[in-house]
Amino acid sequence: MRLTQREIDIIVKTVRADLGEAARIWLFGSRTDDEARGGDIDLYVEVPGHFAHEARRVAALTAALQLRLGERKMDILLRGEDDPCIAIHALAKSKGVELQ
Amino acid sequence: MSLMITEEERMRTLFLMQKMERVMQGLQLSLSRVPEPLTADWLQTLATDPAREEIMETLSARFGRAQDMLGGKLLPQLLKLQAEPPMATIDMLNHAERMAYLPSAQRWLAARNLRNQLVHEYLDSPQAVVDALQGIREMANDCLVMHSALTVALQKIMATNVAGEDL
Repeated sequence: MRLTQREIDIIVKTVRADLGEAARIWLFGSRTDDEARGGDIDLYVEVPGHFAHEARRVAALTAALQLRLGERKMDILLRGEDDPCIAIHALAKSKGVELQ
Repeated sequence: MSLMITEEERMRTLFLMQKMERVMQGLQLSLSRVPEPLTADWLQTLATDPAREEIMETLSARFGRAQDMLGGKLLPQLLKLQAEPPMATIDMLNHAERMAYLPSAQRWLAARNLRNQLVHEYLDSPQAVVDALQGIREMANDCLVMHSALTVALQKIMATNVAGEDL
């Protein structure tokens, strides 16, 4: 996984400040690959209950993270635990690294 | 601080400003075709009205082009003429906000993210798509403001750099 501890702390803190302390966050995609270079930061976030992936809310949260990390290439997938789980959610969770 | 602007650089800047003007006119035209503000009722019809859907598609595309050109071409050109050192994109956006060329760096980034979500099809419900389009509609105003501010700044700097003299 190619994120510094500082970056992980910023991500966890910023996401939970917006979505609540119970939010769980996984890093998936090319940033989990230690051998690769570059790559987007792809995050999968799960929160309790129902939570539609509100486009503007997610866009604003992503923007806040981008400003703090100085990193433009970021995508966040958001899902409530009680909402349907589609293929990419399952993939992100199984192949991804949970951030603490 | 500024540097003496060569004739070539001047021509390049004017050409860019003309292109930008055309892109902004296209965006304005698209904006005039959607209600302000976008109402839930109007947006509901997108699912069943191909003509309205096309209007929104065009607005999204034109917004994207405007944003890319403002942030990726016009703003860097201004900073270059101002002899600012090269900056990473996020730093450039923060600088632009401080200089009041851009209302909000965070909103700018959020709008880019909305476009990405639309393109990558992360939005799996019609409501989510509608939400994204509404965000884009609001951000189009920021583009207009930014275009104005950059144009004024560019005109000013070109007026005060004729053969290195201040007018």
